[in-house]
Amino acid sequence: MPKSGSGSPARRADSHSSHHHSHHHHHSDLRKRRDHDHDEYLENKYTDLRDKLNDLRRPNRDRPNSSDRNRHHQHQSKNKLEKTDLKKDLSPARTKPKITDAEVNEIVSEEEEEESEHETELEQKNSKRSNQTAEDSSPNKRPRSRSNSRESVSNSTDEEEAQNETPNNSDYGENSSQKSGSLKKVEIRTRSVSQEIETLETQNEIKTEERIDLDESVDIIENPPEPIIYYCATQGCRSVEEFECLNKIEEGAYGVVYRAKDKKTNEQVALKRLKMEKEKDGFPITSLREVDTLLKCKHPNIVNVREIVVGSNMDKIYMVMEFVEHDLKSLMQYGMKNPFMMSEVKCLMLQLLSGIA
Amino acid sequence: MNSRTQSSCVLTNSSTTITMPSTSDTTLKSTNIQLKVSLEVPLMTKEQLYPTPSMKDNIPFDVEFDLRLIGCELIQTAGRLLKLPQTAMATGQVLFHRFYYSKSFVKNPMEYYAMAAIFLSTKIEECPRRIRDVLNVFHHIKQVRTGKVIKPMQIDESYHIAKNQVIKAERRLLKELGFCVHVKHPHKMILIYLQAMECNQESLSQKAC
Repeated sequence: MPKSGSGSPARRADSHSSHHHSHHHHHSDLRKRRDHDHDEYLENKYTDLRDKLNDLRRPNRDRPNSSDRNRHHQHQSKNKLEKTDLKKDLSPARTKPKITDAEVNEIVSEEEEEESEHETELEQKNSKRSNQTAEDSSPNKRPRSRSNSRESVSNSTDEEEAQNETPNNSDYGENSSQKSGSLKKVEIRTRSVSQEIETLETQNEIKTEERIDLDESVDIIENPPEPIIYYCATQGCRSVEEFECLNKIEEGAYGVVYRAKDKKTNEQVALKRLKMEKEKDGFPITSLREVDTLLKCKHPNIVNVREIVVGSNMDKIYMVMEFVEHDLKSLMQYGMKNPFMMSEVKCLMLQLLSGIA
Repeated sequence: MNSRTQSSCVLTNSSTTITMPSTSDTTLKSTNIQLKVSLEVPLMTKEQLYPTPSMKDNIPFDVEFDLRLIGCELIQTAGRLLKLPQTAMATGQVLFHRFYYSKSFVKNPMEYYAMAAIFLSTKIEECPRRIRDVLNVFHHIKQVRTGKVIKPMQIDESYHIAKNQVIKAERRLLKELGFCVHVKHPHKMILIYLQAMECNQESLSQKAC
C-alpha cells in the first residue's frame, strides 16, 4: 500500500499496474481476515447480502451491485485477467465495458452460475489470484448437475464456456442484450442473492448442528477433549485438601502410606507422607533424592509418582503415587495358598528386571 | 459411574472393611473434569512473565530487576566462598528467578530466599553444605559490603530466627516450584564441545562454564 501511495512518476504513468497493486493488497487483507475468523466473515457477508437484497427490492435501480465489495473484486480480477490474457486481441478502451458485458452475460445466461460465482469469489479469496481457467472450471463443477435438470439452455452455454476456456465468445454474443435485459437482470440477481443467503443460512445451521452434536458426544463419553493441565512447576504444589483420605495402608520407617481419592477426578491414589520430624538441616537430602528420582522415573514397572502435595501449613509433604492393589512381599507372606507357578515367577521376574534396567 | 464400580471392586478385594463414601451429585458431576498434572517445566507465556507478581505489588520493573541481580550475585559470591561447583550456583540462581515469577518480592524477603536457593541447590547438586555455613557466609558478605569490621557471627536468638526463616523459605521454594527442582544446565554441552575440540583442560572448562 505505501508503495503505490507514494506515487512515483513511473507508477503514476502506469495507472493499471498501480491499480492492481492496491487491489492485490486489499485482496490479501481480506484473505487474512477470512483465515483469521471465518465465522465472523460469514456473518458479515450474510448481513451484507441482506442489505444488498433490501437495496435490490427498491424498484428503479439499474446497477445495484456496483458498490458491492465482492462484485468489485470480481471486476478487478477480471480486469486483470483480461489484461494478462486478452490484451493482444482487445484494445484497452474496449476492456472496461466488456467486463460489465461479461458479468451481465453470466447473470442473464443462468442464475445457477450466479450463485456459484459467489462461491468462486470466496474461493478466489482463498487462492489469491485465480486465472481464467480456474474461474471457469470451478463453477462448472457444482452447478452442472443442477442446471442439467432445470434448464437445458443454460447448460449449453455453460458447456460452451467450459470448452472455450475463455468467456470471450459468449461475451460477444450477449453484448447487445445488456440494456434490454436490465430489469430481468435485477430480478435474477435478487433471486440469486436470496439463494446465496439461503445457502449461507444452511451453512450456519449445519455448523450449529455440528456443535450441538459435539456437545452431546462430550456428554456421552464424559471426556472433554482438552483436559486441564496443571503445571506443578509454575503453579506450585497442590494442597492435600484436594484428596479425600480413605484409609491407612501401611506405615514404615520411611513414612505412612494412605489410600486416597482425588476429589476432582475420583481416581484412587496412594499418598505417602514423608517423615520430616526433627530435621535440623531443612528439607532432608534423602527425601529430596527420592522425590527427584521418582519424579523422573517413567516406567510401566515402576510405581509412578504423579505429583507432590503439601499439607495445610507446609509441615507435611505427601507424594501422590498410583495406587497398586497388592505388594509382592505381603502377598508372599500372608495371602498365598500355593506358591507361584513357574510361569508366574517368570512374568514377575521379567517385570522386576525391566523396572530395574 | 464407572469409577464407582471400580472402587467398589477394590473394596471387596482389600481385607479392611470401609464404608463407601456416599457419592453425591457433585462428585458424579466432577467426573467430567479431566485434570492432568504435568511435571514438566513449561515455557511461560508472555502474560505470565510480564506483569510479574512483584509488579502487581507496585514494585517498578527496574527495581525488581536490580533485586534479582543482587540476589543472583549474592548466590554467586556465597557459592564461591562455600567452594561449591559452578553448577550449584547456577541451579540456585535459576530456582531464585523461577520463584520470583510466582511470588512477589514484597512478601518474600530477597535475602532469605537467596540463602534458601543456594542451600537447596547444594542438596540438589549433591554437594550439601550445612545451613550454618550458609548463614555464616551471608553474614560475612554483608559485613564486607557494608565496610564493617569483620566479626564472626554470634550464635544467639537472631541466628535461630534466621535459620528458621531459611528453612521455611526453602520449603516454600520447593512448594512453589512443585518439587520440579532439577535444572538442566547448558554447561554440560559446553564440556562436550570442549572435548570435541580437544582442549579438555580443567582450567579452560572451568572458565567456560
